Amino acid sequence: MLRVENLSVNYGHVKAVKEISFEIKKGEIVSILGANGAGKTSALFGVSAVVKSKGKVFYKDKDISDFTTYQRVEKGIILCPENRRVFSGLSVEENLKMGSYLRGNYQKNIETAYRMFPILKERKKQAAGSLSGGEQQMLAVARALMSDPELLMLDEPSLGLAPVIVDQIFKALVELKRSGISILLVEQNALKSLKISDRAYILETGRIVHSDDAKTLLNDEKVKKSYLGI
Amino acid sequence: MLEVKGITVKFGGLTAVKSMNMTVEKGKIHSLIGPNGAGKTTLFNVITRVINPVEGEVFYKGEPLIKLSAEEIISRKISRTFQNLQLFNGMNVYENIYSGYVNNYKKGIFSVLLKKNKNFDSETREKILYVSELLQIKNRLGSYPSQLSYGLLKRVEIARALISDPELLLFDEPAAGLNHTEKSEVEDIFELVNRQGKTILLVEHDMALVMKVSDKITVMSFGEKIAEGTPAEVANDPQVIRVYLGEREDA
Repeated sequence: MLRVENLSVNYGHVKAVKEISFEIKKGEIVSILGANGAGKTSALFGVSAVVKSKGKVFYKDKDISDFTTYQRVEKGIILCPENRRVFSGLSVEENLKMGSYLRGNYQKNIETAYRMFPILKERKKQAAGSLSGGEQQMLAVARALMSDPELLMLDEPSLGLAPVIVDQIFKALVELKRSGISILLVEQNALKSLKISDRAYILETGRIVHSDDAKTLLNDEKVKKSYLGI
Repeated sequence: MLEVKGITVKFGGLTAVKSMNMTVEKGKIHSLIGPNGAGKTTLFNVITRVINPVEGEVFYKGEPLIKLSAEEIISRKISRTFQNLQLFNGMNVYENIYSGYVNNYKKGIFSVLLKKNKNFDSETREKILYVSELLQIKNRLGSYPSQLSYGLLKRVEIARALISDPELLLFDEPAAGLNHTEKSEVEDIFELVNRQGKTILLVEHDMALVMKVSDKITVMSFGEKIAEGTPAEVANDPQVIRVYLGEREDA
């Protein structure tokens, strides 16, 4: 589905991502694990063309390295960014509408979004900036789903959410996978994300230092100790 | 130490906090948990005088706080951190920590923001060095926020809250976005700060952390208190499990 070859992201002379290669097959959930500052967010930004990067990105075997961000969105490559990034002056409903601006069936998807996060329906006329932190996070995830993603990239979707909502989001990701959507997941909750993932890559200071099946990683003593805290 | 009595907050037609009562005892770590949108941050904002309640009073060591301004709250030795990092991007770590120093408010905050006080006295310098050592960011004092990882920025924010030697600290989701190593470091910081006799009021969704460090937990839902007690009592409360914790399969 997505194949990335030798992706590098630099900020000035800081090398955030150093020639990494990875792939996501159709219907897979793939996690990127690593400490804060390892380059996980920058890797997602590279795939979305939110930042300039070097290297090649292939989507369904087509070279999309020269595609802009919106061209990638049109193809179904959707990023749900870290720290919400909702349009705070727009209402909840308008934010969701923005999600289906380039693609996705608004009427159909908004019902799904409200079913998944009933609190958003209650707040649909409210300015997104007036929502609580956790509600904004739900809105960010819902907005990403509005565009019928084929490849959904989520940067810390569980940040600041109540445990019961975190469970909901992870269940939703498994359902999305079943419906054929491919998911690239960055999460600090490594244990929870490995449990639903097929495979994972481990990033350290901009490089992939390890990759394997999620099941194997879950039983790897070194991974357990350094990334899972068990 | 801190008494919240009958606090009600309304945003237009929406009641964010309803007749909330809560007592935080001196020297304890008290956590405030609850679903997203329950009113936790709003209550923090009332205590630190960022917003006004329509009813109720907050007493700190017996003194009513509602009539005070946010600046006066800091001089009462109450500090806080924010859910989304609120650091000054144009200032380095040293200057960011300094911006939280209480004496600044005597000089006026603008002189700090305009960096007019470059020549710190030795006492101030020592304080900054002390908290930066405590939080292990001493070697990053010259760095700017954009050069630091999220975990380090969280530490800078805690350092800024500590610089005025507060007696009561309010932390709004300090562990959000941190990996497990950084979380256990935050846990160590809490215990260290608490051992110095400081009182902590904590909003946090990481239940492993909350259950481990808290002496007492208050649970809010839709602006109201729905449960209160020790970690064990709260963790086994059926209503808390239903609205907040969910059925746990893992920690």
